Amino acid sequence: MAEKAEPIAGLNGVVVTKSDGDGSGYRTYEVYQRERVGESTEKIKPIQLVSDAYRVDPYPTLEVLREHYPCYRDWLGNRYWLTRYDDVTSVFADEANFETRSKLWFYGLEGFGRDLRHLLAVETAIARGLDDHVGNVAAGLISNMQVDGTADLARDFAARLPLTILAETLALPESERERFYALYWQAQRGAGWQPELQRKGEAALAGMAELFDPLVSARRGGEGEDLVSVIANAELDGGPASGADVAATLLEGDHETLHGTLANLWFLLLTHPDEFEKARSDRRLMKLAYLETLRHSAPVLSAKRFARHEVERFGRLLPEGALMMCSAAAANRDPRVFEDPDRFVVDRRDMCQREPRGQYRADGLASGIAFGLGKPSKHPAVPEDRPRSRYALVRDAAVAASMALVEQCPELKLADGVEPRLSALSVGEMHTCWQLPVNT
Amino acid sequence: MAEPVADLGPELDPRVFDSEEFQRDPFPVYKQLRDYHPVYHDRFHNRWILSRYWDVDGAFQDNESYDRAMYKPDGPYDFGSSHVFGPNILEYGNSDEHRRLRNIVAGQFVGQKLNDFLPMIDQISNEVIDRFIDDGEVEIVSQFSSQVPIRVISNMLGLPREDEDTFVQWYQYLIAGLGFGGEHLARGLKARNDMWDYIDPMIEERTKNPGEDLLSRICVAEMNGTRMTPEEVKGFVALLLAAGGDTTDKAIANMWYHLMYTRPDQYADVVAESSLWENVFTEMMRYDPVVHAQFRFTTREIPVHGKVIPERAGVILYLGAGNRDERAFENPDTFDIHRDDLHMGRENRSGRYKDGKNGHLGFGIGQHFCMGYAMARQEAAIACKLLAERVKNLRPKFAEHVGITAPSIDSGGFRAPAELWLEFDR
Repeated sequence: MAEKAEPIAGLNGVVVTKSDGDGSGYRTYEVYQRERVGESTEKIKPIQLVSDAYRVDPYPTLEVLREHYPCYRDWLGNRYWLTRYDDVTSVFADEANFETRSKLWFYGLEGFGRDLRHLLAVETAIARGLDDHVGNVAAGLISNMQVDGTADLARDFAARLPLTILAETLALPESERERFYALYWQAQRGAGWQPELQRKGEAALAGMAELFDPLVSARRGGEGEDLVSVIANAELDGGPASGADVAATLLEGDHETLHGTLANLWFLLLTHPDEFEKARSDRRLMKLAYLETLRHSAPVLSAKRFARHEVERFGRLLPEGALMMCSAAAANRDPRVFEDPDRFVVDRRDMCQREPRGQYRADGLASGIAFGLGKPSKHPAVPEDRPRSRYALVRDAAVAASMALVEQCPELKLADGVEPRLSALSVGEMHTCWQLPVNT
Repeated sequence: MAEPVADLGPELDPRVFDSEEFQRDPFPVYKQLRDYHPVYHDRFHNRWILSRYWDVDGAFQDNESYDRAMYKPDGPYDFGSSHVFGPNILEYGNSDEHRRLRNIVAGQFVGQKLNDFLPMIDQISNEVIDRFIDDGEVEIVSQFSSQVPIRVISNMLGLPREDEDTFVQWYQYLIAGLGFGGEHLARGLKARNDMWDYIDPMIEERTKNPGEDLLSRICVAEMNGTRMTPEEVKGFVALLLAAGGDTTDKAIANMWYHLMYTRPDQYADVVAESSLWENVFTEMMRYDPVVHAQFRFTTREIPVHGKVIPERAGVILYLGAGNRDERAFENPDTFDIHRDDLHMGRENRSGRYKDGKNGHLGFGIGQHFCMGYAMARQEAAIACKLLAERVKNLRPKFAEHVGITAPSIDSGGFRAPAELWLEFDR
């Protein structure tokens, strides 16, 4: 213990000193962190982060973390919470030190099928599906809602739209669609923490593989441009694609941003009449309303990232394999970045109005974090050799569907006496509006 | 005697681990884990769980694969010092540093060194009993079990006897603060600072003029020519309070609980043959030990029971569940001090015994096997034996008892009865 203290530069430049034997170098990450932020963690108990109150309204709890414990060690959930905008985006963008794991990894089924979304042809087919079908699918759903003058925007519109578009994209026979919707839902929900849903999800994945196997075989060698045909005809290293590969591809991409943001957008518009008046006036403002919804009420509350190796960040040493809960919900309401962050304002001046390019701040302005859409695209906004980014595709689809709703239902308003609210079905799942009864 | 634990079937919602019923009675869940999920991936808490006897034993034995430390020994982490109560050798994991520190102190609690302390344990136990013997009744937890071990430690350390009560007070705050957060932590930290202010000059003094007490021995003990730093000494004192004081305290209370409520028919056997107190201790450490779980981090992918635990995953070893495994013990849910399939004598860190019987997992096994195992056993047996000898007709004051519980999930701590009222004649 007699050797001289040796300064060690951490990866983010913080120099720490190992104990040099006489106690003078006695400095620790946890104590350092606690002292730095005045932390004693008494302001929160980790069980609050999985409580029913959090499931319904996570924002007050997250505010405590963001303002007091910027990198909170949640010993109950064996994970760390990041809640400030800059921290969350930095970890989300940092591929050198952190990784995202696939839904199949959470299932423990990594060998089940291949996620083929990295193939340009697959990406193109998904993009074409959204662009080509959103108009007629939205029009069809809206007509159905108008039949008896009342409808549930969450159930009949926001929830149906992405799945119906997906079915069109896959060119799924009408007879298989209801079965597909059920399987798709179960597969998506099963990737969470609930054992029962996981079991159902495993069965649903197998069911989807079974559903797509004959379609893949039938369309192999064909000329079709639908997603199943594209996957069936893709040239892959590990042999031709199967139904399981279609299922895996659908599992990893999901519907949550389109479904959740659309429901949340309309929840916010219908409960903020002044903002609604602004948004309905033109397409550009509807786009801003959508972007503000992504910020104000993101449906995907947080993303899980894992430390690839021991890494020093935020005044802490994060162990290898550490689970980082990157909270978009908290970051998107960070008062360091957005003024009056709890307010829903359609034409916010302090938020980026176009798609961020390659980083989270374009034009020097932050944008709402939407994990489901991946990192900001590094390609041009309208690339020539590839489809637009998922961020742009989903945004345009949501705006197109919303404008269709405005145009087809000029008298649209909330049904009398209802008080809709946002919630998640269980802690960790999509946070959205599940019931939004309206008069059409 | 307890009924066999009910079979709840395979459905296991991971939120049960945060529930009050699990804190009170974890055994039905343990059985579910063992029978249906020998490897359970708890996605809710981001951890894996092992619960069968031989799996827990295997993980304890395999320190290469299951690391006690979160961080790598060659990384920038200042090992052990992260603990709010000072450098804590438990946190050093598999490093050489852990072996060094452990070897310095481990010898202080066994063999002749331990025998030297025995008369003092006798004396302190008697003094504690004197305080309530004229009352005709005693609340075991506050008046007996929580008093003896801490006073023993205070004496072992060679603190002045007049400061003993202050030390007991600090100890109670520290233990409460060892839980997680809240006002307890603030009070615990204050107690820590007070205690360190108190002990700092002593460390200096005894490093210069060492006596025969434990504090002196720790201050000057050398291993390969190195001593503990003052910070490490203080961290060790805090560890001694928590791991040596609190656990023994709870162990004594649990032994009395089981003899009074779980198996009152066997109390007469112990009174007739006082050497059986060691069996009571051993069977308590199997049936419902003070510590039920230990955390480890995998250092590689580990295939177990058809699943693969990934590298650097958190794993809970439920030794409380392993101890009730039918695969290791017959009628595991019966408390029986005459059990013939449990190694009843002294434990050892290998967990393997010449009599061929399985040992309990209550002290852990392997590199992090409890250092104070012999001390705890002696202390508990002596204190209980003296109490049983000095009074007659010891009996529960109340017919009903809520039983042994763990403190709520967010206050940490060890399993014990909250209160235990007994009556006796002189």
